Amino acid sequence: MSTTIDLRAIPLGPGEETQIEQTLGSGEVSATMESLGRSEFQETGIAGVWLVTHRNAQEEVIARFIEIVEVPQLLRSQRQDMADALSELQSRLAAESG
Amino acid sequence: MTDAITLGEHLRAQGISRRGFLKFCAATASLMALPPNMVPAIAKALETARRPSVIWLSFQECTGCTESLTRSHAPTVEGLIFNTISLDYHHTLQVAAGHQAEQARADAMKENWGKYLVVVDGSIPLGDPGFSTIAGVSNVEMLQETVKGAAAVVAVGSCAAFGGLPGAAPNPTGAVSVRDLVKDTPVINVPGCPPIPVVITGVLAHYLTFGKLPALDELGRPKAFYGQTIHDRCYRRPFYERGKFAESFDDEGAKKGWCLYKLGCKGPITYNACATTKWNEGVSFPIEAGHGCLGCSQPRFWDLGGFYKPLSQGTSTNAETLAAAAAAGVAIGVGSAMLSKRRKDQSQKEEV
Ligand code: SF4
Ligand code: SF4
Repeated sequence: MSTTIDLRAIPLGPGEETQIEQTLGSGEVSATMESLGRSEFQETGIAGVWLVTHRNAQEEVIARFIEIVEVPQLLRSQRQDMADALSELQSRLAAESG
Repeated sequence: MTDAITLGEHLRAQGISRRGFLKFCAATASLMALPPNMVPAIAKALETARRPSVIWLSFQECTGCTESLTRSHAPTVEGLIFNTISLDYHHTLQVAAGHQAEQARADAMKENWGKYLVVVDGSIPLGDPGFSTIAGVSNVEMLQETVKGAAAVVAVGSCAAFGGLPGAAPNPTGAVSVRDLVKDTPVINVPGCPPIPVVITGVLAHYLTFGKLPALDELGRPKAFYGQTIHDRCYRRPFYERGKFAESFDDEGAKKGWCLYKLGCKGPITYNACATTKWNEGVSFPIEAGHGCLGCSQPRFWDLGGFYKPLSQGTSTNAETLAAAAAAGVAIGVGSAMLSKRRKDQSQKEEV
């Protein structure tokens, strides 16, 4: 079970996004992901509430979400990438032993 | 030219991981103003989507709409325009000129007959076709010829959608909108002066994702972006409800951020998305900068009786509007409710 709130869909006044951030505070875990630009995952001071910020290659924010979930889906290794990685590993090993 | 490979294959071929793809889908959902729980459906659709061919026609216009689009911070400007759509003709952006350019348009039409999208910015002068021509062809002729094999036409900007500035009284060139001329092909209106960049890309992304047009209102505007007025989503609304109005641009009320209704704000009759999407990478929008809405996405907004004249009639805050506001509030979630309560407390405090 998870709930995601798109911060772009909320009519926020000046400084209100910062207010939301301050109210939630920052928690124990933060992670970054480099794929099509950087993404930041910050667990807020409220356990299970994550602030997710996606940026493009120019560092501009392209989307911001509040996710209420144990671990944001994108932090998990993805099945398809794991399958691709297995064949990558095999070809690396073959190159070494050959 | 339209690629045979799907978008999913295209991204994987570029070494983009599944994570990257899902991030792209999440940003696209936000861009299309779709709820985040639509991401899996979007991912599924985008995996198999093919690049549509786009022909962009610029008529009586100021290039502001193209400027707006190319300043878009969408995930996808480079991506969406140059990778996921195939922009086969845009006489401001393309390298080819003259006969070569016109040839590119003819080729794109032939190869993608029945499937390509035509994007139009600018109105079309009927008064004297000589007012605006491209390669010696009048705008009306070029439009009619180009839409023949199109799946749909996207009228970008208030000029293409409603006649805009060229169509303002006394309309010296006899300017008309795309919808006035195109009757047999669906027309999507994306008005605004200029339209919000993410709204332009959002509409293109919707077509790319689902292969069909988004739901439209009676003026041909996508409901996802033009479903609510600026006033419905304005953060100054609590002041409006309490009758707190700025009377001039530098009075106490203006400084306290009160409602701009009496200074001519057209927010109550203007359907657009800028109260939430904002401008300049989401920094701010006119009302946040202290100026009323001009109504730039409404038909004949130049002729609404003056930018600084208050709307003559109040807007209804009838049961239906209130119910809609409550429903939106639920969707928006806790954070926003907390903030609006704080604003209300503030406005009450200021009353005493
Ligand atoms: S009248 Fe204008 S400033 Fe006042 S609440 Fe409506 S949109 Fe906002
Ligand atoms: S505030 Fe009104 S006039 Fe200004 S950009 Fe938004 S819709 Fe257009």
